[in-house]
Order: sequence, then structure tokens, then C-alpha cells
Amino acid sequence: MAKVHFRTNVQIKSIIGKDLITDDNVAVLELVKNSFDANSKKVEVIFENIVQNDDDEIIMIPSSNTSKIIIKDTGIGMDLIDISDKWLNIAYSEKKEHSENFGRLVAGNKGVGRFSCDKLGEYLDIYSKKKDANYVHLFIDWKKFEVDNDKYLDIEDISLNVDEISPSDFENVTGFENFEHGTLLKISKCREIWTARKILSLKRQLEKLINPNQAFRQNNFDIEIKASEFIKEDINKAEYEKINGKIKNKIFEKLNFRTTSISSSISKNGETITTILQDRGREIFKLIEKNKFNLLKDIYIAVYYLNTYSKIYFSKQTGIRSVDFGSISLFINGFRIPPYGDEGDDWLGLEIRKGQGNKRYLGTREIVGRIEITDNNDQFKIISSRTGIVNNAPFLQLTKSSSPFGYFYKIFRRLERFVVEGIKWDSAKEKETVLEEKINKAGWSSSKEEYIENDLSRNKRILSVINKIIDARKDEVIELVINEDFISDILDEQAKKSKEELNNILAEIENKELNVEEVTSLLTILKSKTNDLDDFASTFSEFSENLPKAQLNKLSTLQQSFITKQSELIILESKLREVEQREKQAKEELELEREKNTYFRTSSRTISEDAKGLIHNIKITAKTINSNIDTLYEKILSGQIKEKEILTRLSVIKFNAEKAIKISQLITRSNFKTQADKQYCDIVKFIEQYIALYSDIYDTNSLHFEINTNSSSLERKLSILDLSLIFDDLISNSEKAKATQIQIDIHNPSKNALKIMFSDNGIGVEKKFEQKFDQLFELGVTTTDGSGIGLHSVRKALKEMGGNIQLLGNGKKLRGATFEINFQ
Amino acid sequence: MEKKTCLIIDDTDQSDIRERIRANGLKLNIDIECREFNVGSQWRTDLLNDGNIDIEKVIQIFKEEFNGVKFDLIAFDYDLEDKEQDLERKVTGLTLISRIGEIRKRSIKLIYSAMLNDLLQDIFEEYKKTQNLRTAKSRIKSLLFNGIRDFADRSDYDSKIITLLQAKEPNIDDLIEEKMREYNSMTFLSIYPAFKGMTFGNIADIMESDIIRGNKFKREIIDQIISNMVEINEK
Repeated sequence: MAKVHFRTNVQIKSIIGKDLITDDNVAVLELVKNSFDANSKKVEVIFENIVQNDDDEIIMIPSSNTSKIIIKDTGIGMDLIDISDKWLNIAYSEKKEHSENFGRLVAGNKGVGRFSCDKLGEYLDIYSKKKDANYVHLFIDWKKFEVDNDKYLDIEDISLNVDEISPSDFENVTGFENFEHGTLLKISKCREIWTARKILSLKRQLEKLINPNQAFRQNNFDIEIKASEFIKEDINKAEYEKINGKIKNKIFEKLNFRTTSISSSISKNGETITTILQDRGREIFKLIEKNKFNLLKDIYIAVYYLNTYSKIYFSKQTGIRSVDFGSISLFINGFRIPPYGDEGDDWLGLEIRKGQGNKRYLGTREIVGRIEITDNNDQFKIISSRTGIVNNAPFLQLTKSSSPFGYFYKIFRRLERFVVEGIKWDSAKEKETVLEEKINKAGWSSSKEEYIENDLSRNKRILSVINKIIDARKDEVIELVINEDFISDILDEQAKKSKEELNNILAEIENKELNVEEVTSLLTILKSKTNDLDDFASTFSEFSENLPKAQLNKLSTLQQSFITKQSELIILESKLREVEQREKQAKEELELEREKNTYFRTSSRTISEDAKGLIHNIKITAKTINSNIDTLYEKILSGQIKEKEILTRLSVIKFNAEKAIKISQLITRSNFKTQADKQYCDIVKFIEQYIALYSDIYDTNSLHFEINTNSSSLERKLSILDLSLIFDDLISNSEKAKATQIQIDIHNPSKNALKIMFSDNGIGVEKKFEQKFDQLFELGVTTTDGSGIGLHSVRKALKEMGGNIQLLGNGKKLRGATFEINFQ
Repeated sequence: MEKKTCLIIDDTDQSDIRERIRANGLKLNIDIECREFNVGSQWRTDLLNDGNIDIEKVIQIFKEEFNGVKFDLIAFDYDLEDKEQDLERKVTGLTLISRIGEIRKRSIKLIYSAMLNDLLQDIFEEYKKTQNLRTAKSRIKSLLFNGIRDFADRSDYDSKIITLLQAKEPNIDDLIEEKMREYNSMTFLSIYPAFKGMTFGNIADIMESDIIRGNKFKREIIDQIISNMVEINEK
């Protein structure tokens, strides 16, 4: 058995030096961090001979014209022992023993940061001085360690010389003034060309290097870049574009404008998570819940959502656009871990999510923020190459982007839901380019901000989705406080708006006479507003526990007012409808009346044929009556009339009067045609039908009729009114002769002739007329108590029909009189 | 007293009405002689053919019956109760106006038992049913071109007759016609060859029915009168 040891081949220098730290900016940052850890209040990063140098000529020793990067600090410095036992002791880090030095959390602890010098240049001169001690100088030519294929050459085999030098020598050699304590690293013959752009890039990294809030509590730490070759270029450039000058810390504790943000912290003991959501600078809720992330503690997250206005304000305040600034940075113990959160870096997978739902998720372009980890237990291990931290369990608990989510996403998703569902992205009315111009003008204030959505509806929606946003299990929630002022303000706004709406409606009602449609429309609006108010009240009730009663009463009073007004409007609507209905009815009745009146004045177009005929017949009968009366009257007055003429005219009058009565009796019969005074009809059929309905017309049961038609018929144009009257008269005479039976026999003696025998079983005609039957047809002659007009009229009417009548005598058929009527 | 004549054409007896017209006319100092012509009635079978009004018979008998009789006014009953179903052959008051109007151009025409809008309505309704444009046009033409002076309701057509007769001023044509008819049966022998051998009554008919021939004759008479007056004057 032999004892063996690890050996460190000389090539290890490159492995942990220029080959490990691949980014120059990271290399400088490491050296700056070392200065910070050495309690330096400031560090200067000086670039010399960057543009013009003799680098190509230098082989062994750098000259004064060789390109240089000088890191100069005023830290505690090192002496010979420090150099040999600590600085040259690879992987040894005093910082591992002391997590905090000088009131600062130490930044580096791997013991390899020093090898950043190898990354930056081929040569290194370290000048360091402790207080009350001498300057020490160490020169390293890194090429000596770059020996390939010599397995026997260990890094320890390369010897280095460290000297003590006098202050004057220090000044002479370095060109810098003496200092009491501190370290000056002169890195010569830069391995990369440092352009203005590259230095500016370094500047950006240095700006975000330190989180002042986290890194130190009392002491400042200034970083300054000096690059004299670029002084001329810096003239007329904006501050943030200049290379030379102090680095301003760009880590914002608080943006100097209202934003929507969420901040959350896991307590030092890891038991609780406290989260605060702010909207436009006002706290919405504060949630304290149990911490389920067992590996995480003492972590702080702050994420800001930048709406259009915020982006412009950000740019104005910081000098750079938010997209150029980066998104979520990670700080461990006060120092930023690049490249996390750099422009284009998506270490949290935010852009991948955004790609899955552009309108549902926030991306790196819409947010800025940071995660600050205070890691006393070295849980989060920085990768030696300084390109992030190891993806270990704590890192996963912090960053997991799928369910169950890591701590960052647990918090981030609340902000996301708030932005997407609560404030609907808080969109401005105008485009960013237009707003930028306005905001950059003098006189702009945030009170001039204009959004697509009004504040009240926005805030009401926030309130309604708050629980959804929080999305915390009840058993995990320790305390949830919704900002009472926020709720109260919403209530006040809503009350104000509702009152205004109600007043507007009242004004509508009071200012004018409304019709039904207008009332209905107002009622619809009122109902809608009432529903809105009810919805609001319902949402609001969840959060009303801690609000003063007066405010709660305000809401219910308002609701009551709406309901009352609604009831009043409903009654008004109903009344107006009634009035409208009555008016409509009255109009219709008036119209009808008008039509009725109009009816009388218009032509007979709308009169039925029956009515026309009726009018026609009435006119004829009335005209005849009138004419005869006029003539009678005049002649009686003038004494120029004989008795016979009087009787004749009276019989005409009577006949026509009876005709008029007949018309009124027959008009209801459905088969009674009054279209014409005369019409063609079958006399036999007429007699049959007329006799059949005789009892309907005259309502008598005392007469019994027997008709024998013998299949006869005769069509003749005649007035059926007149024919009716003829039979009326004959039947009347039979009744007066106390007949109970009437027999009518009809036959055709020839084709165009008709004979009707009308007989009754009455008392018959008087004997005195037996030889002078024709006398009966004279005016004034009667065998009954009649007027003596009837038979005369009968004969006259028959004559006009082309017929005649004669009395045959008594007992010809039945016991009483028999009349014979002939039509030829 | 002013003398006027009128004729009532109706299918029903108008004797009562004629009596009233005469009596009322006398009150107004007008001696109105009123006759009637019962076209369509059942007792004037000479005017019928198989129960229907025969228009040719009507015209012929009219000429015979009223030859030499001047009528200042002819009143037509619109509704003559013609049984004829064929509308083209159905005879109404308008038909008679059209035919009788041709031979009695100067007589005032009155239609009663129908108002103008009723008449038009009837014509249009008929047309709507039958789509017989020819008949509709013919009826409208009758209304337009037969010198119908007025329309009257049946209830007051007698007073309308009196009014129209009262308003009618005699003109030269009436005077000539009146005189011609007064000497109705005298034969015309000279001065106007066209009418040679005709009775005065015939000539009066021609003058009334044929405006052109009538005017020629009148011109001739006037020439004759003037030349006689000149002759007398010279003498």
C-alpha cells in the first residue's frame, strides 16, 4: 500500500479561471464583489489603453501602454500572509467561515472569484495594503500556468514572487495615489477587446449588481467606471449612455409612480408567507398564509405589472425601456445572479407560458421584478461559471412553473389573474407612442391618465374576483385583509353613481309628460340599474364585515330607493297604459261613429243588395203615398175633388202603406229578395211558401190552410210584395168572415196561364151581392167591417201583374166565398 | 203661361207623379204637360220580346207614339228591371238615353232612381266581375256623351223635373221645332229640296236628331227670311 494524494495539475488554473468564467462581465462582477466583501466603500473599474495599446508586442512583461483593467478598492487589503495563505489558496474562501462581514452578507464564497483575473487578462499585478502595513505586490503571468501535456507539473510548482514595496514605489509603478488600505488589481493585456459598447454592457450589469436593500443596511457601496479614452464620446450623451461615471443603483425599492404589483415574503423562520397586492399604488389585500415550501425561508419577491403608462414612467425614471431592463432578477445575499432576469433571459419560463396563452398570461415584456434570497445556509449554490445557480431542490421549490407551483409562480399567478381578470390588462385609451409624447411634455400628471374602462366598474370587478385571485385553501389562510378603504371607496363611488342615475331618471319623469313607451324605457333602465346595484350588493356583502354600519346602510337605502322608484314607475306605466287604452277605445268609437255618419253620406256601395232593394221599394211606396196625399190635400182644399177620387187615392195610399209594412215583415226572411220591385217568380211556389210561413208572420193559429197545386207553375214578372198583399187581403177577408179553413186550388189551364181558386168556410158574401159580384171590387164596398179598399186594391194590383180576380160566389168549394184569380 | 213638355220613361205607373208635376208646375206658372212611356212594364207587351225589353221595338214605337211631340225634358228611370242577363243586351235607363237621345238631342235628359256615383259604382263593379271592358266603356260613354243634365233620387225627381224645366229658356231651335210640330202634318214643298215632300213633323225630327242637316235647313230658312225681309223692305 502506498499513500497517494490528489494532485493539482498546472492546467487547473485555466479550468477554474478563463475557461470556467466565460463572461467578461461576470468576471468583473466577481472582482467587484470581492471588493465589496473586503468592506470597500467604493470600487473603481478603470480601463486604460483599451483603444490604443502595444498588446501585440508584449510577450513577457506588460508595459505602460498595454491594455489594462484596474479594479481598485479601499477594502481592508491584504498582507503577505493573506496573499500566500488565502489569495493563493485555491478554493479557500474565508467567506465560507463568515457569512457576514462588516455588516454585509458576503457575496462570494467559492474561493474561485480571483481567477476572474485570468479571464480578463494575461497578466495580473496585485497591489494590496492593510492598514498600518506595507504594500504587497504579486505579479502573475498566467501563461506560465498554461502548459499542456505536462502531467508532472503541478500548479504549486509554478512559483510566484510577492514583494513588499514602499508607498513611493507604489505610486511610481501604479501611477495611483497611496491609500491606507485596499487592493489594486491591475489586469494587463486584456484577453478581449473592450469597446464602448462592451463597457456599457458591463455598466448595465454593475447597475443591477447590488440590491441595496438586501446587501447592506447602513453602508453605501459605490462603483465607478473610468475609461479616459471614452470621455470625449460621453459628451452630449444621456447619463445612462455614458461610460464614465458612477454606477447608479438601478434596483428600485419603489418605483416613483403608481403601479400594480405584488410582493411576498417567506418569513425568516419559514413558517408563513405574507403577500400584498397593490393596484395603482393602493393596497388591495394582505394575505398571511402557511408556508408549504419547507426548503424555503427568508425570501422576498416583488413583481410589477407595467401598463402602458407605467412603461413610459419607468423609461422616464430609469432612462431605459422596461423591455431592455429585463424581467425578474435573482439576488442572493444582495448580489444579483446573472444572467437571470437579463434582457432576453427567461430563466423562469415566463415566455414559454405566454406563448401558450397570449391573453391569459403575463410575459417578460410586461413585468419587472426581483427575487431576493437571504441564504445563510448556502442552499442556493452558484454555479462556478457564474451562469446561474444549481437546479437543486430549493431552486425547484422556488421556480417550478407547473402544478403544484413553486413559490414564485404561486405569487406571480395571483398578480397575473388580477391583471387579466381583475383589471383586464388596465388598457389605456391611446397608443403608447402618443402617450409617450404627452407624458414627456411639461405639466403632465398621473391625474390625466385615461383608461378604456372607468374606475368604478373596474374596481367592482376586482372586488368580485378577489377570492378567485387569491385562490388560497381555507386551511392555509391565517389572515386575509381586504383594504377597507378600497371597498369603502367603491361603495362611495357606486352610491354616487347610482344616485346620479336615479336622479337622472327622476329628472326625466318630472320634467315632462311621458307616454307609455317613454315610461317603459325608463323602467327598463331602472330595472337594469337596480340589478347592477343588487349584484354589487351581493358581491359587496362578502367584504362588508368590517365596514362601518353607516356605509352599509347607505347601500341598502339606495337599493330601497331604486325599488321604490321602480314600483312607482310600474304603477305609472300601468296607469298610462290604461289611459292609452281608453284613448284608443275612444278614438275607435269616434271613428266608428264617424263611419256611421259617413255611412249615411256615402254612396250605397257598402249597402247590401237586400238593403238596396229595401230602400228602393220604400222610396217607391213612400213617393206614391206622398204624391197621393199631396194631390188629395190640394184638391180637398180647392174643393175640386169627387168622392170617388178621394176613395181611389185613399186606397192607393193604404195599399202602399201596407206594402211598406209588408216589407218590414218580410225583410227578415232569408229568401226574400227585395232587389227589385218586380222580379220573376213562380207564382205557385210563392203561394206555397207564403202560406207556409203565414202563421210566422201573423202569429195566428186560428186558420188552417190547404193548398193543392196539382203540379202547376207559372213564372211571371211581378212584385211579390204586391202578391203578398193580395193574399193578405183575401185571408183577412176570410178571417173577418169567421172562416177557420182556407182552401187554395191551383192549376194551369194552359201553358202560360194559371188559375187559382181561393175558398173559405166562412159566412160568405152577403146575398145582396150575389148577382153583382163585381160591386165588391168597387171602392167603399165591403161585406165585412173593413174599409172597402182592400178588394179594389187587389184587383188593381193583379191587373198590373197581368192578372184578374172575380168572385165566384158562396159554397163553390167550401161553405164560404170562393174567388178565382187568373193569370194569362 | 209658359208651356213645357216632359216625358217620363219608367216601368211602373207614373200617373201620380205626373199629376204632382203638373200641379206644382202650375204653382210656378208653368204649364207642364207630362207624358209617360212604360218601358219594361208588364202591360206594355208591345215593347217586350219574350218578357225582355226589345230596344228596337221601343225606338220604333217611341217614334210612332211621339211623332210630332216635342219634349223639353225626358226623365229616364235607370232601373228598368230588364230580365236580360247578358249585360251587353241588358237595357237600362242609360241604354234608352243613348238610343232615344240620338233622336231627341235637344231634350234635357234626366236620370233618376240613381245618383252619378252609384251609377259609376255599378259600372265599375260590373266591370270587376265581368272584365267586359266594352260594356263598361259603352256605359261610361253614355254618361258622358248623351247630354245628361242631372241625376236625381227617386224620392224627389219630380221636383227636379220642374226645376230643370223652369230653368230652360227657349232658344231659336226650340221655337222652330215648336212651330214645325204645331203644323206637324203639313207637307214641305219648296225652298229646301232635301226636305221636299216631308211633313213638318218629320223635318222637326230631323232637325232634332241630325244637327248637320238641321243647321243646313235653318241656314236656308234664315236666308229665305232675310231675303223676304229685304224684298218686303224694298217693296
